[in-house]
Amino acid sequence: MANTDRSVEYRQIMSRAICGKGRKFCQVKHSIHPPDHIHHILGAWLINHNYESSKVGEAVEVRGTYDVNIWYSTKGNTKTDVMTETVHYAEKIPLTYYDRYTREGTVNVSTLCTQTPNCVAAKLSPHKDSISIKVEKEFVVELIGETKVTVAVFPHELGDWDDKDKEDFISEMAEEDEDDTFDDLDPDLVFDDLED
Amino acid sequence: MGAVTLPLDAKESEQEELQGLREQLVSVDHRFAPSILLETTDDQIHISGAIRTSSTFYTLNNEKQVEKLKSAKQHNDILQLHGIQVVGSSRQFLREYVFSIFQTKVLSVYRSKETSVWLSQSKKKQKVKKKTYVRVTDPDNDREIRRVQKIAVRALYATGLDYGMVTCGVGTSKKISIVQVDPSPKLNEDLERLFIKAVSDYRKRLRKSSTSVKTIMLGADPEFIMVTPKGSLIVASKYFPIQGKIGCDAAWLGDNRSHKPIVELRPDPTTDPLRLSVRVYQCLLHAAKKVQHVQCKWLAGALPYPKYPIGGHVHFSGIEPSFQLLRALDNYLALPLVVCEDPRGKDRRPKYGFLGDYRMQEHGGFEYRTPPSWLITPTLTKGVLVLSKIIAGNFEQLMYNPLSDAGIQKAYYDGNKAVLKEWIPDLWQDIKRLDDYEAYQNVVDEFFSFIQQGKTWDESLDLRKAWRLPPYHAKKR
Repeated sequence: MANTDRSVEYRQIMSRAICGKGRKFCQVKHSIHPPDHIHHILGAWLINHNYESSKVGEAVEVRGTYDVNIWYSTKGNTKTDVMTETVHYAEKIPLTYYDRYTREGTVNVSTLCTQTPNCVAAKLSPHKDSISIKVEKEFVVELIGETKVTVAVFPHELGDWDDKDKEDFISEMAEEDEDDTFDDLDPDLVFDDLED
Repeated sequence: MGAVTLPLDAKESEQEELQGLREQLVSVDHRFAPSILLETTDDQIHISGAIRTSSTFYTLNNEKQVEKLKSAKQHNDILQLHGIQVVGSSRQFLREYVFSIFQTKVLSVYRSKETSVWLSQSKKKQKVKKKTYVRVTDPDNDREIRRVQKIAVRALYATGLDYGMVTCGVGTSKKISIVQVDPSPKLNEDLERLFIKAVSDYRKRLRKSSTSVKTIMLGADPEFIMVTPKGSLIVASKYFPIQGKIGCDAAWLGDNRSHKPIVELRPDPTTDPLRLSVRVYQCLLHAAKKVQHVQCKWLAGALPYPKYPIGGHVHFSGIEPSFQLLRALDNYLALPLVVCEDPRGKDRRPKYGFLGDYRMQEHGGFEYRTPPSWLITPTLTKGVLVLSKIIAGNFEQLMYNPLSDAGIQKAYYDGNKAVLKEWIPDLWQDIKRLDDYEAYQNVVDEFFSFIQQGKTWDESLDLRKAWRLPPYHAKKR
């Protein structure tokens, strides 16, 4: 029997699909060398966040940088100034979901920073020789790769759709419906009249 | 402003009704009434043939509970007892949220305007006085709000209230604390409207007939773990898929997140609790066949292995998770289970197994998550499922609420069986009164007499023995 006779046909298609997902919230401490004559830290702000990500084994590694701006006072709180330092980081983000049937080499990583690096605390050490700042950030990563997907497809006849206008097709169908050849056949009646 | 008494009937048009409610419920300084009493006549209680004997339906925000919350110490003690973090001496948050809640419905969410700049404390103090909040229009799309919101509802439930305004703070490391649960909040015009509408809707629901027992669907996802003869945890995902009728819970073991140690049974839901018990047995049998070659013990209960608390969640659909239903489940199901639990199980609380733990489900219903895994014996399994069904169908008629008392709550969390056991005869008697009791008499009586006798389960025993599953089944000759 030709397999087009089956009511539903299945095809395998190659598709790009999400084949891995992960999320990580990170809290890290940085130690920064303070400028001379620092008296007090007044504020801290992180800006210019840049990052890149890549797949490493069954995890995603995000590498990036941001600038730490520290607003501080000197000379017994008579003057203020801002210092900037660029910080590098690398975070490994484990995948909660990973499909091993993905074709290696076709995988792209999409990374979204759901919480941009944010300074939540800054402290000057008692000897004023180091500033420690606490930073929080969060990433969501998705792996997008080629994978086989099995789909149920309509029979071949409908493949002619693109040759005709949709309206034509529908009106044709409608005409067929109105075909009155079997008008005298009442399905209920026929069924009751049938004998073994 | 004290408690406000409202008639259960409202004969005016909707607009007049809302206007009337506003006048009665909102004070001149825009504060909402701290508690509401709905006045009923006997005929109204008999609506639709079912007698609603439980008085808790006609009181919103019990005055006693409202009184307790006035003391900051009591307010915090109650929340901490239920395992909810409260704000310490310093109120330092990255963000704050304010939720208006009526029972399980969150009416509105406001979030404090956040700054991404960290400022030294001395600078901050001047700012802290005036916090501005912005209304969040699509709170369900925000992961953090969903998390905080759950805790806010839980806090409201823990304080024994039905409605109020809950202020929460999110600190560093995503730590969530409750700042305040306010039964009589000061409202703006929008919020007034939302609260009034909620009260009016509640009143309407009370006037209507109660849910029919027959249409309530019941499901469950009890869990168990497998340990080696030496007592170490077996990675269940080696033998069972993650999804499926016998699957694995999302919790993982060690560093590899695909190592899932907890087996979860997911029998198809049904309206008949006994049929559901049979389906649980079938799942167990199937699982037993799949791992018959593995030397292991199957453990259920609350905390059979340190750091891996397991649960026996019961799913309901065709019924809304009102606070009254959750309280009935806590009193008539969770409380008896603590009386007969393995004493080791108390460490599961209050992180898990806290009172009123529920979660909405994609199927439109909800799951009640407080009970531990009752797969221990068939008696417990049948008892829990049958009682769940009876309680859900008849909670409006159940009379007792021992867990409204702080002492009993403490006994619940501490696993103080002696105190809780005194309530068993009353709870049992109350269930016996119900029409639905008759059909399940044997199961209910077996369950309660097991508890009444003071027996407790042993979480270190292989549950397959009690279920007579291979290798403990009677061999055919």
